[in-house]
Amino acid sequence: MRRLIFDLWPIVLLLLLWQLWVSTAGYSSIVLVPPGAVLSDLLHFPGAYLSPALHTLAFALAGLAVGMALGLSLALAAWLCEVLAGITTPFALLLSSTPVVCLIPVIVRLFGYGSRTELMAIALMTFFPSFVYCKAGLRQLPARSADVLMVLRASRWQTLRLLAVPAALPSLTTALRVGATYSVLVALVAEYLMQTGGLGTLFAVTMQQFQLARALGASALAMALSVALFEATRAIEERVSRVYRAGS
Amino acid sequence: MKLRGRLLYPAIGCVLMLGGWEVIGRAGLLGRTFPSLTEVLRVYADGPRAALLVRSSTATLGSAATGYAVGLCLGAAVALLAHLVPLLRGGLDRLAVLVNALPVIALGPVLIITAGRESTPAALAAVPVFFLLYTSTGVGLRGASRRLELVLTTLGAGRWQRLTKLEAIAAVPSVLSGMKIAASSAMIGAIVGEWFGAPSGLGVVVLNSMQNFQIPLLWATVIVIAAMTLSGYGLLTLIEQAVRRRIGECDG
Repeated sequence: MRRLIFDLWPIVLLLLLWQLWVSTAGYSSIVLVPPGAVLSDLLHFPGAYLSPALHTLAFALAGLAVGMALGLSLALAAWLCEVLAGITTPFALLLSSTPVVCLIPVIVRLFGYGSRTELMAIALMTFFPSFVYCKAGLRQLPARSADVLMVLRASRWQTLRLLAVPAALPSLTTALRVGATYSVLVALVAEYLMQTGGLGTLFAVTMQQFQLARALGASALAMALSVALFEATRAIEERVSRVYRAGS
Repeated sequence: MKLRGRLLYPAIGCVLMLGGWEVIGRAGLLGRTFPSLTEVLRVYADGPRAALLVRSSTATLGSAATGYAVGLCLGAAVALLAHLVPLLRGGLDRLAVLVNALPVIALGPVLIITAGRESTPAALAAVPVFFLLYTSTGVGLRGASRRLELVLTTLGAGRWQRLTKLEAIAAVPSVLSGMKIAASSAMIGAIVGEWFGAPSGLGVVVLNSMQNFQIPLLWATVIVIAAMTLSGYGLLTLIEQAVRRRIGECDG
């Protein structure tokens, strides 16, 4: 209990300030609602939130899976073929340092409004971190193990299977963690811009209708979803890095 | 061999990227919404549209810089506070993890209400910068050499002297790498913040040109955004390298 108070005080403080502000400023409910109103909307109308939340979650996870798989495959291809690695360097450098969220409008225009575009945007945006981290992970192989395999005349393929993939697994889980937060963000932005359903659309629409409690509820739910996905992937990352780093 | 992997192949990649872009755009392989490179570049030569881009860039850069500066100062200050008062650290660390995982766009509705439409871009830029700097400053301050700290304590240094003579200096490289990552976060925050109804800025141009089918302008704006972010990142990388060289000497 004491531990919980020490860990959660900033959030409690923010909520208290919000409540205090509402009750002293005396705004009408189309300008500002107290935290209690948001919570009660969440609890009284769970049906209004359930299907948008599931929509966002499903798209985020599906897009993440596609993006991770593509990134890993291309990183493996680049590892096996040096020319490909060199040629993809400028793409990777450019795309890993540009604010990718700002590219979503371009993708929307390219592929048209619709759920398919949302999925493609998420896959594309999670592909970049996956490719960059997997590529970096494949390059940092333990030098002595690589020597052993070379002395034993392992083929490129055997080296890949026995050494490179296990050695790159910690980087892969890091890519998963970075990609997981990206996937929810991109899903929300795409839903906000294209209104394809999901939590992003829910808060875009309810903001325009001045249903602030519903909009903030959607916002809070989106945050919870993102944090949950982040914590889950971080737990995976920690477990994997404990197992694999212990051996080396 | 090394040179070929380092320079030749990436150069071929660049040429392929730009050439492919031009060819695909000219031939219309990806439809009318994929303009050729020359078509996009022509936007910068066109008076009114170039003026619009300059005006919007100034607005966005202003918001991003304001948010960056505020986030930087607050983040470093709160990290310092948490370092000096360990009791506060648990909660602040938890909050930092939380905000790091938050999708910026979900904060939009909250910030429109609290900060107003005009300052939402700067506020949304400040939030991720604040927490990146909080984390990197904290890590830097705690990363000071244990042995040097013992030496200082033995020589009778107080808490304040330990902080100014050892920990603050040891934190500089970590703070700088935090600042580097934060540059791109500030840009994303400012642009997404402008989508919530700011009067001007690159985010507004992106959204309007997307909705009004002004394809070359859309691409030209996104390139400006990317160029601004990359130059900010590049500048901070140069500063980081210079400082690292200077500090590296006494780190030994």
